[in-house]
Amino acid sequence: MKKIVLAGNPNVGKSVFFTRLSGIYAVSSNYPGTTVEISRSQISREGEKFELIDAPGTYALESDAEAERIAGKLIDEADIVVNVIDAGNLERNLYLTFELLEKKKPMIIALNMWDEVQRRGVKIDIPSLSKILGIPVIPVVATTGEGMKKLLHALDQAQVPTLVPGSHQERWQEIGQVIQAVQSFSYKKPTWVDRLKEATLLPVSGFLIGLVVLYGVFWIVRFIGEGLINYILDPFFYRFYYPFLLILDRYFSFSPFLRTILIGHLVEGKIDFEQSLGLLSTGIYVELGVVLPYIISFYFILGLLEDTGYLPRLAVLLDGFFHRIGLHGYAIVPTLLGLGCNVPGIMSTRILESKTERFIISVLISIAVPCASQQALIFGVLGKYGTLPVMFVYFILLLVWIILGFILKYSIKGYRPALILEIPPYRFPYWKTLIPKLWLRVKGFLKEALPIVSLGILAVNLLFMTDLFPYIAQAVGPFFQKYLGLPSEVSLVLVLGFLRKDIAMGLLAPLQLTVKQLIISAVMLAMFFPCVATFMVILKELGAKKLIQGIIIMLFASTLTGLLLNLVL
Amino acid sequence: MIVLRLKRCIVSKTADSNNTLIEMLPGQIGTVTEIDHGHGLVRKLCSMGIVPGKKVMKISQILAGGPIVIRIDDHDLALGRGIASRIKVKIEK
Repeated sequence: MKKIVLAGNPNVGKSVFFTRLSGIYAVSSNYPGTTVEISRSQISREGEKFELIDAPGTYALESDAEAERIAGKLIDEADIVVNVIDAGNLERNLYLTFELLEKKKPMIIALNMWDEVQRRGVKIDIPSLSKILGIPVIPVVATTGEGMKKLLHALDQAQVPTLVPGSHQERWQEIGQVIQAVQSFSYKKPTWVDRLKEATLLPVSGFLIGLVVLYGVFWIVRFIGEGLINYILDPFFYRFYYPFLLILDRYFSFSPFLRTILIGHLVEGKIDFEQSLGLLSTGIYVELGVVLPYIISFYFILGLLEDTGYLPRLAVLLDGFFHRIGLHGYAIVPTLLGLGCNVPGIMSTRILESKTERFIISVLISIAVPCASQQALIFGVLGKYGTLPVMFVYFILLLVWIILGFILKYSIKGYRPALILEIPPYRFPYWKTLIPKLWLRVKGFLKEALPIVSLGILAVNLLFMTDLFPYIAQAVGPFFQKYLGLPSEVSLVLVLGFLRKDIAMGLLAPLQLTVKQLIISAVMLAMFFPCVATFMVILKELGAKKLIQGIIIMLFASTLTGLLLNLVL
Repeated sequence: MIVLRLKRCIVSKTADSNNTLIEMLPGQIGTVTEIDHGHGLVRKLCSMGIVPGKKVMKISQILAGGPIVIRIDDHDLALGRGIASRIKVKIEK
């Protein structure tokens, strides 16, 4: 079977192209670098079968970057290379084309986004281009499928190019000649729409628009997430799932051990979705009833921001700020996600380039970014004392986020690539790509997170059968009294916070703490250990070594903050 | 005041030609003359279309030490300040 490899710059529509040819959905966004994993698929043309491979988007082939190395290797193994080019950025795209030509593989060019080019009044002389490069050039519009049939038929005409290799300088001169020969720009005056588009990148208006968008995002995410919980998921769990569990509970009465594993411990004689810790009770509820709704709403909004092309602009605006703590502007995405639920937040750190960045932002999220349920309980515990104590907790967390970021930046060495980011044009989001993308991501979450979180809940459940938790609480109790000004019972609450922060917060209520004690407890609970789900996701994404490093930082940072707050307040 | 000083700084510099993308003002157009950096970065920039002789327009300079946004041909690029300060340009009047 012949291998066809799709190669091209980032954000030229390769993933859409792949989807068109294969019918399989590949995640595509209006920003560079969506294809991190490689998609493969089989396609057939009049009975003849091909293997279609979507290589990661690259600007060049000979480089140390991971994506470019992978792309280079895939092209070496290819039988036919289809170079997908953004017709609107012909000159820059041709740089990669020249590198591909040197690979001496049968090649063909797909000139994508042909419709956009014609709308913008750019003229490209395709026959001349094809003649100069010595390979077929087919104009296509991947989003609508225009020209794809013609391209499939042209696969047979893919030719091994006969170009003389040269230095980079020579290559650019050659490209200059090709462009002059084939492309003639006709410039337009900027319209008010153009000015509005630019305003999102200007210093003052950009920040104002950014604030409005962020506020809107936050509001819509909560609206959708809470709506799903209150009107769909909670009614389902309490009305239908609960009676089902009761039946199972009776069924398993023959084996107390199995019952504890699956259904969990009874709390005040009842099954409690949040505290029972059974695989079928808490395990299912936490993932599907609490985390999933926020996953759906966040990924929906994220998809919208991606497809319109606003996300890279936001990243550019915030880059200066994030740079100070050793991160890129793109770190805003995991941070935003983390405010809903830390689990998707940490999973989304994959969009960052280096391991160092991923570690820094994961630690910052799990320590200083309170998830929706933590926030709900900060409000729940402190709300009755007015907005000031609540604001104060947020302020402290923000301060911790900044200070810790600084410390991590200077104490962790690692590869931090400088920012070179292509800003895509604004595009109208397209339902046909938005919804499948959402589905693909939700499915990915369920497939990846469900098993590991269940495993974590099982582990905690087994630990609970031993006396480990009360023992730890007893051991650290005196420290709490002496240095943090908190009664020793709070230590048990903190240890329990490992399971679910909101339960722990609820346990604070009967202890009759003062406002100061509540503030310290709330801050420490938010910072201390992530919940078991976050814990497992960090383990999976970054490995055991990084997880242990992260935990040491967490323990240290939360204790120090508690100490300082006790001294200052 | 800051703006004024910035402008004077540029006027004095344009007299002897070479500025970097940092000194360019938003809205100005210039021609890239030199990229003063290691081989790897020169190639990376080259593959993204930034080469000596290329005309660029500065769009914006983000506050708080943020990146520089330039337009090159038909697309926009954001460059960190470290990189932008090493790309020399001849600014058009």
